[in-house]
Amino acid sequence: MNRSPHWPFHVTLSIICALMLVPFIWVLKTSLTGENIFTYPPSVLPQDPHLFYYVDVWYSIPFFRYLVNSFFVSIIVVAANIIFNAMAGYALTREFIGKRAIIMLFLSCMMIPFQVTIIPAYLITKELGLLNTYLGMALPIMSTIVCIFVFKASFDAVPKSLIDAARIDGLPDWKIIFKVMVPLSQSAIATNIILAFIWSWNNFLWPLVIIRDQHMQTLPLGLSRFLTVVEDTTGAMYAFCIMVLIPGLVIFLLAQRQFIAGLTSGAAKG
Amino acid sequence: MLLFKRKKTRETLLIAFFLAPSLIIFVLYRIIPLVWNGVLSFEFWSPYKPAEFAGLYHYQEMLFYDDVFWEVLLNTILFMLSAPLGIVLALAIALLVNAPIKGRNIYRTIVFMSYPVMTVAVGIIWQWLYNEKVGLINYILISLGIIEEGIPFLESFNLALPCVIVASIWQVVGFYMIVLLTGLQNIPPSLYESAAIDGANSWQRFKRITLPLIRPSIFICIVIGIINSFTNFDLVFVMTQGGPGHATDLLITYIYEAAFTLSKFDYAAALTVVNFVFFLGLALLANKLSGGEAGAVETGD
Amino acid sequence: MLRSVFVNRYTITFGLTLVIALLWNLFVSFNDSGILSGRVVDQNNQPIGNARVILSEKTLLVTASRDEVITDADGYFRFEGHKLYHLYLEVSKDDLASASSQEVRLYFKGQNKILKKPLVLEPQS
Repeated sequence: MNRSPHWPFHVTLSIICALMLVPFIWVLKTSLTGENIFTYPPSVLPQDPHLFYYVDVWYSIPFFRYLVNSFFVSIIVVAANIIFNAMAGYALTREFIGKRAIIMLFLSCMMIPFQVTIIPAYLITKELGLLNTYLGMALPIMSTIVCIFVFKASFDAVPKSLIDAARIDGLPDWKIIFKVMVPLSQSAIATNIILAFIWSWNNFLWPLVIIRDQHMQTLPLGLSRFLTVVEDTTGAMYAFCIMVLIPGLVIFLLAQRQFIAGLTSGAAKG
Repeated sequence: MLLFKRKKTRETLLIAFFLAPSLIIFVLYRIIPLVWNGVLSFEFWSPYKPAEFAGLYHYQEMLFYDDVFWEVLLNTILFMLSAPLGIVLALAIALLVNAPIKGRNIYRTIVFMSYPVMTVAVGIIWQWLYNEKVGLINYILISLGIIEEGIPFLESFNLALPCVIVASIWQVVGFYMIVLLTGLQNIPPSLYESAAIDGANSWQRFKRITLPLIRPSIFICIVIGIINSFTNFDLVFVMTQGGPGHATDLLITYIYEAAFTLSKFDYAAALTVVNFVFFLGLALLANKLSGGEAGAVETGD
Repeated sequence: MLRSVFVNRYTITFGLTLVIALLWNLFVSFNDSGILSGRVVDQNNQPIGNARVILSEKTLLVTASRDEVITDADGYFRFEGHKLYHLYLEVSKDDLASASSQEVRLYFKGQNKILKKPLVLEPQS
């Protein structure tokens, strides 16, 4: 095979990557200088960078409270997701009456975007008395079908002989799960953690609908309302953006492989 | 025999117990809302008065008297039709980063990075890029001498929707790329080798081998694009709030507005039903066209 | 095996974040007495005593004057116990006034700070 030179690839890809990165870099720069774009000459590198816009954001809204709220909801979601999805995934590896029906139910639930059910979901949450609560924010995404199937696939891959051996040894089911299944499905767990965290962290519509209390707002809500609270916030607004983006980005960069594995397996299943 | 039976019951109980939490959540937040939503759309209802049967009243109003509905529907369709644009772009990028070059993982990460970040922040960033006075895009256009003074992109009736669509493509293109890349990597290299021996040029190889073999991935992308156009609430809400007028309102933002700003829950429910039926129809159609691969799940027995 | 459980990129990232947060809070708790001191001089760099220094708060949300002190004979002034992070200093004495108010930004509320550059009073035209 004739090998074409590599540099056209690098040039094209560099341009594409630059286009993808420019918004991020510009936001970062503005958050450090607050300088207007029309300052002349426009500089790519920030001049006199300072962190005071971050300080402004921290104090002018209860930022720490929002951060704690966001983290708390995410932790509930992640924990519930691992436990519930692993349980359901395990159950689906076993034979029982109505298994096909349950699988069909799960698959059809996948075709119902959450956004479509938002009005009754709001009314149900109201009936349950969960408006303005962490649990209310977490409940609808405490189990995800994609991840159930990720777990199922991972459990299916565990050799039957291993489970049988454990059963002959007289281990009860829960022990089989913790001693045999969990160690062998670490990648499924990792995938689930990162997917659940990112979904919960970025979740906007649902908290917007059910949170009225100022003190229960999560970061996306705080960010979207920041514009209406203050004026002339070029620097502070983008400092806020950066502060909100960083946790999600760090976690994504740390667990990129698992995240992509989870998304593609989810996508492959509709 | 008895022992066996008891063991069987125990196991069934265990399975039921394991399935219960997930099932409860899905029934509570998917199935019941779907049914309730359907019921609600045939009623006169508000939080302060008892329900009353309304028949097709809301649907009639929506289809015959609500011009906004048609505008919003058109916007949603336009939003959806923009998906192929993103997919073609993503395919080009996927082909580039699938080449055996140094640092391709870094390129992949950078292109994909815009997907997992918070859409609300993406909306704010793009809103500012489009700003009439201090936006980067206007600045570049002015510097290049293409325009004389800033264009108020997001306040313009004609330009607002395309602008939102561009931001949306920017965010989702990395995801398309990853999906397509997975498809590309599943193509056995031997196919290309034998094609090369047969003297096929690279365009022929692309048309004869690559495209047919990544068809399932492309259809997955189309389904994602459809879902995106029905669920992309965050971006529109943050960037334009559906404005100017209803120029950028999608069905989902219009539903939110009707329900939670105007408190017309019953009417919003009717909109939701239309939204869902429309979505389901398209998703099933895409699935059918792809030969069922996009929604195929090995039920594994 | 144990090493890989406790020393990996996750524990390092989150551990470092925690440590930095802790250290920062420790630093803050030792330096937040709200001391702000500086000096007032005239154009010839001579200290000005008995000048009024007004401390006002300016944040994204409020603008209000919070405190005032009088400089001593050597032109020194000192505020204590303020709880501000973005503030302005205005100096005035009889017919003299600072050209413009001096902006001071702090990294946290009540950060102790000694202004290195003296505030300059000029005759009011």
